Amino acid sequence: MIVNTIIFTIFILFLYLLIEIISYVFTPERDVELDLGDLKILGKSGESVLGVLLQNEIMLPGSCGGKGSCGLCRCKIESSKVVATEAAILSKEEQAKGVRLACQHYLYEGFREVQLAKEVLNAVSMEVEILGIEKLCSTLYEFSFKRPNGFHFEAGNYLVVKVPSYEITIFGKVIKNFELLMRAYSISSGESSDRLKIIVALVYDNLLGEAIGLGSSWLFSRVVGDKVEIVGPYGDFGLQKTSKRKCFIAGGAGIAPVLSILESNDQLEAELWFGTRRESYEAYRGLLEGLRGKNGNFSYRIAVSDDEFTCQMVDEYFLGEYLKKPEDISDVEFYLCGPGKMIESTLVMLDKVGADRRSIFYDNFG
Amino acid sequence: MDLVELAFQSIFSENVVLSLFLGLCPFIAQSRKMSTSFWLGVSVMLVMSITGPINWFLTHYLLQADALYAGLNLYFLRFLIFIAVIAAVVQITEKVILRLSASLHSQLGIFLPLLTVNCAIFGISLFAVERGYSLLETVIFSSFSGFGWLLACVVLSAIRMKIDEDSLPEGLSGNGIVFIISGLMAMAFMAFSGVRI
Repeated sequence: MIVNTIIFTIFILFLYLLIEIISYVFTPERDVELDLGDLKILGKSGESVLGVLLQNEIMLPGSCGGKGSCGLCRCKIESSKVVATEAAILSKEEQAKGVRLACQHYLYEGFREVQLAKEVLNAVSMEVEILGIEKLCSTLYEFSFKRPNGFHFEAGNYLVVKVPSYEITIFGKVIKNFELLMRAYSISSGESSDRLKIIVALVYDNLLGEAIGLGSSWLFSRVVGDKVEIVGPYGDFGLQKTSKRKCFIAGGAGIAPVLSILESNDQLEAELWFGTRRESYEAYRGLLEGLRGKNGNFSYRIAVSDDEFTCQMVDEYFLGEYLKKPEDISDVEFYLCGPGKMIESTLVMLDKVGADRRSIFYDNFG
Repeated sequence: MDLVELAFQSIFSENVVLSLFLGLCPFIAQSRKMSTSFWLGVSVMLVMSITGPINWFLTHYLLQADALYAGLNLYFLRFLIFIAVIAAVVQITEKVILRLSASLHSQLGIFLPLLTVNCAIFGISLFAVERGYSLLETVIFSSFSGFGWLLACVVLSAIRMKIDEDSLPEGLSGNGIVFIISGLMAMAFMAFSGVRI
């Protein structure tokens, strides 16, 4: 019996050594120069493009930790093929243009260039102080950070919050996080405000009655005066400079970029269709009432998705009202922001009512 | 046994997927596109023709009764050893291909690791030993079985590409019709068993 075990163990160790030796001989670590256009950085073969960029303090956004599921670390790698994880996230046009996810591609000898959006090279990492935490409802907090000097952003941009490893107790349950996480949040304050605000919804499991979001739980346990590290700004979602009427369709925390846009353009003629759940209805209504008080050209309607009486999603609500009273929408621009599912079904709905694809802009909250 | 006959048998009348029903999962799942199925088939063939002879060697010079020294029989360990060998060969093949051709590696890249758990590859190693083939026969048997898998997978993907353009009853579309086609293909391949070379 012992002889069998020894022979088997030796055999497995032999295989392991063989693999190590062969990988050392055939794929030794080599320096690979990554060409970013204006500057060149060095990485090792086998490392992910995202990893090398982050090591060199080029702050490509991301909120899933390199798993290829958030779709934020976009860059252009023209010489590469689309891998399976990307095919689900990038559209056909993006794939054809060479847009790839930096976390899904690895350096090898002869790897050439990566093209990054301008904003990525401008994004900086900095520590900001929490000046205020406003509890909108039990699962929805608004955080105000001190705006760093020289931090410029456009309404509709987002920033990434760095969540360190931690152990906290929230709702009587201990949550542990072992790695540095990145979480993306849209900025909800105006361009000229001296505070940076974000709206954080606690990711909550209704069945278990427990908080399950690693990023949101950490932020919910912060107090005024704490320091938080943020990176940004990022994003290409924003108000188009046209004279068309603006129509926002948003869901849940997707309200944040809309608030920022409306606060930055205080007499903008706009309407908002907003979808939320019953528990946070009052909170959002309060925010929107405040905006309407300042801007007479702004109007909003709210659809509540789990109300006993009106139970409907925001796109169904819009469609229902539109069918009751069809109007000309050829001079309307649509801005969608919210969860991925909501964006998808709203795009289908807008197709149905005949909206022009070129005047639809969206910010997918994943 | 005549080697030509063994080769013919491995490809057609005893095709690994259509008559032994091994390696069905990738056969069904990866045969949507011709290019995918071809490269997967190439990987299967490559790994199969390497692991078959290695496992034959190990059985005869390590595992078999009295192979290492008199009184020691490790034959019961063959399942574990074979799987370890297959996993190692897959790893090594991947490294070698990466070194030789990065473009081939990016084509095979996602398929190679999956082969570790492909039952066709394990099955062929096992059959070669259990049927008492000689080394030469094992080489022929494993490489042509791999080719048989490649052939079946490419043929199926070609048929599926035609079928995608047809309209099918709802319950039959997708994997339903693929199973029926595989069954018909199995019967067609079975017809070769009457051929004598």
